[in-house]
Amino acid sequence: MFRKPFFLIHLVLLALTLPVKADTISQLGWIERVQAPQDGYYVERAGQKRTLTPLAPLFLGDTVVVTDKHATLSLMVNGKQVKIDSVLSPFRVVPEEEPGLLSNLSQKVASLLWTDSSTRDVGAISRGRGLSISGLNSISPLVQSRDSLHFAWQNGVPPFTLILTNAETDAQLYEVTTSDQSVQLATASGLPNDVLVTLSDSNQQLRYTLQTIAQDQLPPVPDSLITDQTPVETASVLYSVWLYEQKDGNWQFEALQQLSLQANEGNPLAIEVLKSLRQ
Amino acid sequence: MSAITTQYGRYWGKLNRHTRHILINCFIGIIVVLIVHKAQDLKFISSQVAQGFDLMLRLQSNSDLEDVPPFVFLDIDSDSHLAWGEPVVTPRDKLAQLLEYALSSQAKAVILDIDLNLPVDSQPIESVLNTFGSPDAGSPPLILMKTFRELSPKNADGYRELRPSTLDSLVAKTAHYHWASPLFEVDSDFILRRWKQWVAGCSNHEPRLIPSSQLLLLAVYSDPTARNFYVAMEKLTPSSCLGWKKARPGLLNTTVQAGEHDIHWQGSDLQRLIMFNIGWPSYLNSNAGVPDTTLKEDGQAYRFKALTIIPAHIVTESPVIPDTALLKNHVVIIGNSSQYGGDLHATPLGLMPGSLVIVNAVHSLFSIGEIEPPPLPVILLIELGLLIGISLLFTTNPPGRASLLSTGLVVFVIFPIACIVFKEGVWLDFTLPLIAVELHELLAIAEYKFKTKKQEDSCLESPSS
Repeated sequence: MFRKPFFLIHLVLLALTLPVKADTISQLGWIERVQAPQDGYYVERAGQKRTLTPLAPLFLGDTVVVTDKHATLSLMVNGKQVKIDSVLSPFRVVPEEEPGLLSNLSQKVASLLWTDSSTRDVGAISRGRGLSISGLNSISPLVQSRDSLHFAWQNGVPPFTLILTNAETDAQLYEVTTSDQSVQLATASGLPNDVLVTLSDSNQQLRYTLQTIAQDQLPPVPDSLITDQTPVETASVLYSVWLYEQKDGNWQFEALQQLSLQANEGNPLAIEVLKSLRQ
Repeated sequence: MSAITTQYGRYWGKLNRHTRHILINCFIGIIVVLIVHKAQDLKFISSQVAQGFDLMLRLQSNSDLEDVPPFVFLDIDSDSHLAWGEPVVTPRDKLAQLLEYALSSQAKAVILDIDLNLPVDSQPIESVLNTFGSPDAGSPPLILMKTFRELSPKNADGYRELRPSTLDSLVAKTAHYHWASPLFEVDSDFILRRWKQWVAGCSNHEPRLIPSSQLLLLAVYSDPTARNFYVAMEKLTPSSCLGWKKARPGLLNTTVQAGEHDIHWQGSDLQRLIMFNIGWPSYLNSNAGVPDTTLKEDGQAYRFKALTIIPAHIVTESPVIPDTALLKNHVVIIGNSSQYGGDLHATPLGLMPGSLVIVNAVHSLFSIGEIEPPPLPVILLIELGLLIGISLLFTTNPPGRASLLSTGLVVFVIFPIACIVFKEGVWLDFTLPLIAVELHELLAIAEYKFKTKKQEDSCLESPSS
């Protein structure tokens, strides 16, 4: 007569301590690594034997069995790594015991009151900059009709290989391997609409796209920039510098090409500007 | 006028000393509460709020969640970095392998938390994205991170320049591929506490609104193309880049439906606080484990770990094709936690990789939406009750004991209430009563000293008289 209420209370308490509801499918872990032949292990789930591959999920109630003596399985269960072999097998996947409310609370309060004395090292060092081509964005516009193209790059480990290909046909246009950090290509035969530029060293490969445009698609010269009294040579350098400074930086490569051409023609202002832009 | 004053003066004179004391204290206390409520930007106030918030997060972290998507973090950790030959830039072929693994699964969504706007040959990634880009592929929606040019100190245009990517055109023509912003806000104490819902951007002189990854994820969770979300974004975008400069409070006060919650496009500092719940296990070095989350799919309840971390090299260096079943119903995030990646951030729960910040932000949005303070009348009512209680303590006890008891009242009554409502996303600022208690303490001590001095003076004067 007295036993029934006690039994019921016991049942309620037991139900309260159960970590998961019976109708809930609980994924508790996964297979990290398998060093075993396919028939050297299996997972028993709902009475069926399955051979699971790495990264297969493990559910509550699964039993992992290793039959091969030389086999090892690495599992991640409840966020912790478990290694099992034929000696430690079978391994049953169960939820970890949850700390009680009081223990949980006391742990948290303790962690707030006592500061963690462990420290972490940080490196006060710059990673430096990787290989990059001056003025080139991922996609840059470039005036199509020009006799030469000048590429200059920074950082990286020689030898460098620069390849230009036609983006539409995949046809290779130029390939240069050099230990220098700049190269000039003769392009009098013309450039296609889209040119893929690939620069690689021993560590990295960069890829850019040059979208060729007609001369009249360049931004117009602002009225305030050049007056009638401005010498022609100065005016062309001023325009290139203005183009280089345009907000989104998309015109930098075109501006550098113009300055490079003017410098090759002996324009002293262009030589100085180009030098300062490359520094 | 003077008659009214005289009448009130007469009532005031009729009140006993204790009642007058309580009323004066309540008046001063309420004024203080109102000032503090309206002056949240004061350094003293904001640092108190931040510390209180951090304390609350640390106490309540690692809680189990409901109806919040579980995450799988494909982590380019130090071991993966080493296994890949310590490359300068994240190798695109390895990233392509990770993407292929994630996109071929039944994941709910995939976030690639790696900068793809570098001029590195992204051909392997383009190839994978082309394969999974067709609507027939049935692949999960993909969120890629758009980065921005560094703002110059004198920038006054109110927008950021988007860095171009070779993937721009591919993303633009694929409905379930999206660009998102990885930007978050760091406070003056260098702790990351808040999200940034969107970024005003500009690309090729065209204005572009880039939503945050967490906001976008909420949108693609129900609709992979996030059509309605983009319509809402369109309404916020001005006609030119310079239009970002103009403040448009009418539009910015609007909300966007994201999942079950309405999120403000321009939330307050409080609304943008992230309810961090999961710390970085490698940093915490604890056995606390990871919280669980429960989801319902087709009437069946599933319980998952809220976060499963898989080192990336396990996927890329696997001798057999890895099983994708682990990713089913999860959101997959591909990110970097190695020191070399430079994507580690200080948060209220300690150092964690940027990808984990995103995971916490998504969980925060899914579980509570935005954090809200209780309405001002409720705050005033609570404060008034507290002030009356504290004043009574000070009128019936010596200042030392009263101070001890009043602090106890805050710690054992207000703080637990604040803890309970915090879980529901309501921020009852328990630092306000603390400030009020401190003020009362000062007032009581001043009053006590004044009275003692007065008594001493009267004692000194009496022999001569």
